[in-house]
Amino acid sequence: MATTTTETKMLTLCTSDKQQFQIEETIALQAVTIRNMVEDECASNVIPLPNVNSKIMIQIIEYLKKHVDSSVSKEDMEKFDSAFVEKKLSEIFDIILAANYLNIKNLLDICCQRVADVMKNKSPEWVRRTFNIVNDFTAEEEAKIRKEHEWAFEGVDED
Amino acid sequence: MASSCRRPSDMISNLPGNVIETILMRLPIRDAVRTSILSRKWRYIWAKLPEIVFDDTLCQESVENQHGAKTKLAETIYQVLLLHHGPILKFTLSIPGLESSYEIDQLILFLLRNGIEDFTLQMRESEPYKLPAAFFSCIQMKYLDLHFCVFKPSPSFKGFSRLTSLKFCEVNVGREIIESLISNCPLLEQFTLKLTLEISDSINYLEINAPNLKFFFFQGILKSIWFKNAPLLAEVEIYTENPVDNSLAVGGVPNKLSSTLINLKILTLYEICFEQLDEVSCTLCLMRSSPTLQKITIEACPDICGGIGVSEFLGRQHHSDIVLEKLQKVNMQVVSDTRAQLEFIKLLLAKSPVLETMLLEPKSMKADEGLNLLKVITQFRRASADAEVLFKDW
Repeated sequence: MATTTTETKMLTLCTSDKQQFQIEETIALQAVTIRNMVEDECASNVIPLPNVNSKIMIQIIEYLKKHVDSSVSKEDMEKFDSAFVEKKLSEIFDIILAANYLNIKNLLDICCQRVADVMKNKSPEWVRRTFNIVNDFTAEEEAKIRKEHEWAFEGVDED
Repeated sequence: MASSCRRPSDMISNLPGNVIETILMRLPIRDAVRTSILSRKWRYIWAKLPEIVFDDTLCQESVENQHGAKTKLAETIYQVLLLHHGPILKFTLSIPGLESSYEIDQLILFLLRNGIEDFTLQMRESEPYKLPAAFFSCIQMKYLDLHFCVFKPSPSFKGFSRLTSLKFCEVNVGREIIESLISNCPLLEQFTLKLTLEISDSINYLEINAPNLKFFFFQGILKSIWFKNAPLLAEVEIYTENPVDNSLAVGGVPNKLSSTLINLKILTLYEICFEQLDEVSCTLCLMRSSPTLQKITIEACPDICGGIGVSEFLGRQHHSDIVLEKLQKVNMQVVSDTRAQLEFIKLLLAKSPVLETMLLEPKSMKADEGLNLLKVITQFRRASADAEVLFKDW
């Protein structure tokens, strides 16, 4: 009775592979989708996240924990963000899908920026190879588009 | 592994539409247009983007003084807009040396029909560009950033009712127009005004009547700014460029503003000349009128212009009407050991009971001069027991 401790409210997140993550509510509520579920009281003790697996969840929690900390300076946060997106592209896409589903705007933005930086100033052939995009145009169609936007193809990097 | 001979999956093309859009909006327009050739799926994605930026990334070579390059650039802009379909909410045209006000008029008319809300125009021509009359009918405008234009609406102009952010840089605009514009934009939160010396000279005073304004930046010759009605103002930055014949504050500086800036938390003043009585009393007037100030940054003018009476003015009075009850941080740059500056520092230390840090950047890096400064300042009485006085890089 003598001491009153302010209890930290915890939430349990359950990923697609049935792993449970106990995290502080303030950290989890940065994800708008989770916030809406909590506010609408449609979530019981355990919040199911069927679109996110545990491997990605661990990385997302790492990001959210850093971003809830108001003592981190703007420069340090930028450093953290740029280090955070130094991952394989396939991983970045998984995080993008999770961030889009969980509605974490900043995380989605920095991952989209990373993808854009990879594409910047690269030839279409290079972009297709890097992202495994199948070219379904005929040679004539492709030539026609290239002619239509001739200016956009000038000065791209050598492959 | 058996999967190694299978073709790896195309993850980017299968992303949700809003994500692909976000990625493309982070690319220069040239790169976004080039994605049309990747595959059928990508053919028209760029053409529906609601944000278009034409800036330096568009020109491979400088267009200044090159007629051919200019024509080509204009053709490219037209082509992009012709192929675009759907609303264009945000548009930026920031290409130095792009010409012909007639073509830009056409462009603005096109944007007005396509729902523009966020408009940036940044050019550098021999003559400032005169905005067409139709521009002022754009009621949905939310964000406006204009450089080197002539802003002269007709007398019937009623402001932009949804505008939240306004930037004028070297815009040719009169005092009455600025005043009526900001008082007729009820949602305005951010206002940046950078005036050329020529325009600044023609404006003797400026009245700020903006009930929703939170941030105000001013650069020009400060004669007098009256915060007539700005109850939500939280941050003010003023950059004064004083002319040689300083005729500041004709009729004297008021002791206190007529209305208190009850929400002002951050005040930044550049090029404050501590030898000019009216500049110092202007600063004091702002401090007196802002009871909730938390952070003050002052960059002193490094040239000593040899005024008199300031240190007497600061030292003579007790300034009992100044109480900086919430002030936590002071940042002073180019500090020298003139009496006026020392008196000002003394005043801040004596009037700020919750001050946490005062960061001083001495003008001189010489150790003995810095030490002298330190010796004097450590003797000043501090209203806050926790106040730290720090010297930067010394």
